[in-house]
Amino acid sequence: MPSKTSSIKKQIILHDVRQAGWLSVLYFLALLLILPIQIIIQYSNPQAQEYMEKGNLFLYIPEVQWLLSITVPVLLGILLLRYLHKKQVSDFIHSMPVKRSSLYHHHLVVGMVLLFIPIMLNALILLGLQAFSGIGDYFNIMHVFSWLGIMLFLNIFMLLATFFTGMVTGMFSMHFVLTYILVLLPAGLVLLLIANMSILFVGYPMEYYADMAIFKFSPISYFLINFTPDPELSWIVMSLYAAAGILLYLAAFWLYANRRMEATSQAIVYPFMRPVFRYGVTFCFMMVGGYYFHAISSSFAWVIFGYVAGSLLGFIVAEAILNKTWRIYSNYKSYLVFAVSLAVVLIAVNLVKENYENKIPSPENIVKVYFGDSYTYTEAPEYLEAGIKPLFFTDKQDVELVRDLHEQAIEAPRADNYYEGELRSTFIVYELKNGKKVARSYTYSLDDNPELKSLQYEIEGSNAYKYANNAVFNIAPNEIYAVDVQSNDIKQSSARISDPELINALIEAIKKDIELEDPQADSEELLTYSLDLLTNKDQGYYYASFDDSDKNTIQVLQDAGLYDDLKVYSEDISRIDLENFERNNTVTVEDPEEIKQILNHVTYYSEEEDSYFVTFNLNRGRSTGEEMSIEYEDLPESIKNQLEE
Amino acid sequence: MIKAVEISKRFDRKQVLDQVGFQVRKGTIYGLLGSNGAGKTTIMRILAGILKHDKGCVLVDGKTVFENVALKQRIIFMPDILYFLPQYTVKQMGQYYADMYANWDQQRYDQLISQFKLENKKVSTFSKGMQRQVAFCLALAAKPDYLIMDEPLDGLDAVVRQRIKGLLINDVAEREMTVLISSHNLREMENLCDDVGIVHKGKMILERNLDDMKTEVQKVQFALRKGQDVSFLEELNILHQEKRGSIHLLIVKSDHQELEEILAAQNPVVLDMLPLSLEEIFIYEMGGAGYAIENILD
Ligand SMILES: Nc1ncnc2c1ncn2[C@@H]1O[C@H](COP(=O)(O)OP(=O)(O)OP(=O)(O)O)[C@@H](O)[C@H]1O
Ligand SMILES: [Mg+2]
Repeated sequence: MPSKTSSIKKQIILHDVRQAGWLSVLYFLALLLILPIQIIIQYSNPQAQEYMEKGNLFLYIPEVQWLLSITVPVLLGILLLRYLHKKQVSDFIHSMPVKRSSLYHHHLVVGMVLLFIPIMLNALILLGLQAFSGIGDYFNIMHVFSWLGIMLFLNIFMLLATFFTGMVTGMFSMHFVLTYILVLLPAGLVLLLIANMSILFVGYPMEYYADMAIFKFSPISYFLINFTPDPELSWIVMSLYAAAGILLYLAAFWLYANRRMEATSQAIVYPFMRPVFRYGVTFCFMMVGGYYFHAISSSFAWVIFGYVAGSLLGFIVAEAILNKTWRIYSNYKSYLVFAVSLAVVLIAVNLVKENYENKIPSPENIVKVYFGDSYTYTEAPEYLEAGIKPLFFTDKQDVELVRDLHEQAIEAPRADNYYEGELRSTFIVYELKNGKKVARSYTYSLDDNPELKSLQYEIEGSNAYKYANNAVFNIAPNEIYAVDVQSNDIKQSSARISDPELINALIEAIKKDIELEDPQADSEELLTYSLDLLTNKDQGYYYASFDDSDKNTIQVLQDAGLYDDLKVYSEDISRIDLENFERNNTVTVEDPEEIKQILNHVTYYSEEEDSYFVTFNLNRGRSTGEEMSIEYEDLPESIKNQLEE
Repeated sequence: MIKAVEISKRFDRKQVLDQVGFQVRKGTIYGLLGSNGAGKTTIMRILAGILKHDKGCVLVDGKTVFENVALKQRIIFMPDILYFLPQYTVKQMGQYYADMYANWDQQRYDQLISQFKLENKKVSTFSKGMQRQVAFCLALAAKPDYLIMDEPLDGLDAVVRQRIKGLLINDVAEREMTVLISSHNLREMENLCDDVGIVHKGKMILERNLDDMKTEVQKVQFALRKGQDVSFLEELNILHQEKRGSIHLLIVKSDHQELEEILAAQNPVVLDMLPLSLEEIFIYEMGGAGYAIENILD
């Protein structure tokens, strides 16, 4: 019998719009306030106009834009698929003469249109503003299109993810939770795995792996970079998201076609997914538990306890959700399955553990080695001289030294988080001839490992290390157009050096001072000066600090006649006010000798309860007004006596 | 025609339907009876194309219902707990159905709505019984060839109940509509259904044509003279037998005419052929089987 009714069901669309249209309207209004209206208001106010963003449209209240684009599509999807999560509604809809594929596409298209309209309308308004008013100076058509494109991309991806989870679950509340689990899962899982690897394998460089790409694994974190001043989306990642979106669309479609309506109101509709959910939750809870106990105790016994407790808790939560009851002990066998497979994994870990932990590449395979406290220097800032990468050790002897230290570090006990002596966090990355990298990181105590200590100081005292860890050695002097020198925190004076020869002399002096520095010797000087080397490129600058022990730098400044202006002499100080820690007693010091003694011992801040806050009043120059501290024992005797009273 | 052959269905681990089979002839009314949890609703949801059965086959007009749009156009399922789209008025519900069902008859809908004196208000503001009436109006105006109703007469007053039964019978007679109706109440089905099937714990334990049944089983009381030989009773297929004083009460599986002749031949003092209710037939026929048939006889 030929059907009189059309395959596009007006009434389904109408019903969806009645249910979810309000959200689209609110979305439109929110975006309207954030973009066009805010832009008009800022533009019409000359003072605000100065601070207006140029170009990037994501920078108007970026947090809210980001929050909206990861919540509105999800709420929309939840509203549109609500009918799947209530038995009566589901029965009603599915007894209608409409195919599931048709229902799916009706709702999906309505969802997309409801997202499209508010975004598109705002883009049109922005284009209008751009074309017909002076606001056009602040952004161009391409900015609007890139905003439009990226917003639609992110919104529709989130909608597709919501449709997918909507098919997976039969519960309204789980729909929300599962959607965010799904979009955060890839990044979260990788992060948890890396964190736990670092517990199980001594030397596993968590930061090295965690830094690299994790934020790309979740649209929620990846698209966050849109809302920063330099959005740089990679086409590869975007294509992967597009592919993931298509997969989600197809998977949701397939799941719907095979959905069993009697499972409406079950947490997970498809029986084959229930073990995935059960063991997935158990596994994640286990990793969180282990990492938590590692972080608070550092004892491996506690870590094991954390694994067991975490996995049990995870299992109970998963079972309670799946069965919608807390009476879950009947399924203890599933937990045993988990425990046994976990034991197998741990045994396997133990088999490879030794191999991993003791691996030090042999010298003939090593091209170069990075040694430092964090591995962030690899991406050399632009103002570094092209072609030079002295951040790595290549010299045979240096490499050998690092290998020796590495060997010691393997043996050294992992330093406790609460350890109070001198600690070192060391990052070692070998780059091998075959192009591979071996990265390790360790945290150890120097006081407890004398051999390690001497090696550490030997490396830190070597010129190679100093070159590698002080970017000043990478500076191309002709890129520097000026140097700003600031006095320490007592006196507010600064000087700008722009004579190229003086700049060169200063850079050379800083280098020499660094070369002369002994890592073992604690600087006696408490007050430091700071230097900003300003470069033409990207308004970048290189920051360094020095103190009175840096003789060469001081000499250059003295020769240039700048030092006296920067240095605070005790004669400069007319009066010092001391205030006790509780801030209820103030003593004034005016005696030059006492002032001198206080000046020599003052620190930036002390946590000691018997310390005093120090405020300086200057004869010459302006005080920064900043408060410093001094410990009781460093106070002149006469003041101590005065305070006793 | 609706034909179900050995359909089985599990919910998780629980076997809810176990090889259920039955047939509903075109233009007849079939009553599905059974106690709570017997599986009636499940059978109907399968027939409505909501659920998929595990084994067996369900054919309506020789075709499967699941995802068959052309066929579902001709089937209306009225669930036991009614659902109306939220905030929809009587008129809007009609528009929704009109978009879904090709045979929708708007004139008939308006006519039925006014016949039941229903105002055009939000359906959710109606009482339970009034909502039931709206559901009937929607179902009948869609002019389905198959009408599947799960406990449709619950919560209706006697007048409305009678009127609805009349409408159903009318459509069955005029358009050869086929009706499947479920109930706990045998008495209610008695003067409505052509056939009944009794489901118990997921199995179809009995299927009967009601007209046949009434002609097949007879109730009779008679009294014989003192000392008269009763051996002739052994020839009869007796379902139930009672004796009060000299009066014998029999329920016999037999033709009316034939039984009366046999008894008359004994020259009884009293001989009365009594009317027999469906309820009694079921009780006596099933009594031996040990099933809790009383459950379906409120
Ligand atoms: N969603 C479900 N999940 C699991 N079991 C279910 C579900 N729905 C029904 N059942 C079970 O299926 C069996 C049959 O239920 P069904 O609703 O078909 O019975 P019924 O004959 O309609 O009962 P009633 O007269 O109470 O309406 C019952 O034992 C019930 O517990
Ligand atoms: Mg039922």
